[in-house]
Amino acid sequence: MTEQPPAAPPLPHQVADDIWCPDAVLALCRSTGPGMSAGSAPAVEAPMACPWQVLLFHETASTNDVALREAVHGAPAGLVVAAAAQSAGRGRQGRAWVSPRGAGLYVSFLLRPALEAAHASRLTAIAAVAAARAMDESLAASGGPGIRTAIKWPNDLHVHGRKAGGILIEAAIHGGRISHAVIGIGINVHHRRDDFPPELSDTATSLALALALASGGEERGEPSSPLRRVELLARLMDNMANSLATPFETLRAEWESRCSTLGRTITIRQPDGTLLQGTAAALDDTGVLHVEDYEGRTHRVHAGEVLG
Amino acid sequence: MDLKEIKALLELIAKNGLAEFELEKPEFKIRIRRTGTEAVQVVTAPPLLPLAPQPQLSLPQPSAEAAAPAAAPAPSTVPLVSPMVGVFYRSPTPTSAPYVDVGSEVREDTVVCIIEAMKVMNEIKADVRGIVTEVLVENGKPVDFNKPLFQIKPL
Repeated sequence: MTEQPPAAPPLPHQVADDIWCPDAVLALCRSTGPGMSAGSAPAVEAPMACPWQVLLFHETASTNDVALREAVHGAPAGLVVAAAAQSAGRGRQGRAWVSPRGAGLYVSFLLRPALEAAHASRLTAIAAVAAARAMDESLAASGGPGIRTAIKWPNDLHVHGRKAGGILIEAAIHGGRISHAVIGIGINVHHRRDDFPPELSDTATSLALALALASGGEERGEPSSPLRRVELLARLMDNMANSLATPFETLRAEWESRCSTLGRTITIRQPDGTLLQGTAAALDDTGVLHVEDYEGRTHRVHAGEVLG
Repeated sequence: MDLKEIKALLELIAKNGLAEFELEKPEFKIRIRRTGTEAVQVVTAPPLLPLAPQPQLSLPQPSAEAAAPAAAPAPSTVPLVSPMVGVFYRSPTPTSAPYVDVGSEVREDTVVCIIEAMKVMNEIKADVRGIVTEVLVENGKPVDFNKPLFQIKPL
């Protein structure tokens, strides 16, 4: 890359979380690689004998882009690309993802799972459960016990009903099978209310804001949070390894139990622009949402945006 | 089973004027069906045990008399079918140019579209060298498993 991407906007306030200081990275190195668990039927048959190999960035354009580029050049499964800021963070269909410097954690996992393309959506459940568990653990370790991260279908990570994280998975399909997949996870960690653009201020949150809310503190006045992104990264890696080694049915049960969309009356904007209203009735074994409309017909929804 | 063997199998079937052929082994299953006169559909399941040795194909040898002179012509285009259920996108973002269009030359590893399922954006490769002759699905529309997405004329 010869072109310099535009820099991420700096945070207007200081956080005490020096993300990749030597101590933090040493602590990270102590966290183990994804050894296979004793379970005989992991969610994904992944050649995961390797430990995670981690690339750390203070800032990069997009961790998914780095991981995808490495994948094309033959990087093995287990590559983890983590950044404290992204200057060109992406969401679905090229949408921008707000990634100011100093506030978030952006991580991409490169996998080469032995999965048929038809089962690619399992990766969504694997990633969402791993991220939700890691967030819960980080919150609990920082004085916010009992906060449970919810999953808004299919893979938004919600805390206290607001979006604190998102997932973007990009897979390459060759001959009907996945040749590689990159799971990108972005988590809002230190953001304060006014770090979000106005259009997101009512729907977005961060782990720090969630902690402040849980402790009854005034959200804006919190000087710093005890959260450490490097710890969150270690928890993400552990939980991702764990998720990959868990039988898929077990994982799906947790995904369902965390899914805040099920049982609610929802409106979905489908990719062709049409709206679908009904009750979110169930998730099938590929993660497809079944929506029952007012006339009792069931629609299988593979993609779309839950509006409310 | 590699492409060469599949091709040989196709020729054998065309020569014999068979409409449908199925071969099942523990390691793989292949079904070849002729639909209409020009299109040949190949459906093949990948081996479940990738490390198992590939068995030799034991096809009945066609006798010289059985070779029908009026064999079906070789397919001029092949369909690229969806490997999954999802939503079809022709470009990486709504404002960018499509990955391929009619007339585009593609190689085996050229990305031709994205199919989104559960926020997994799956880049689909052409898997064949050729020229795109038809785009069969509109951007943003749902597709089923095995739904033809493109017609490609192999080179």
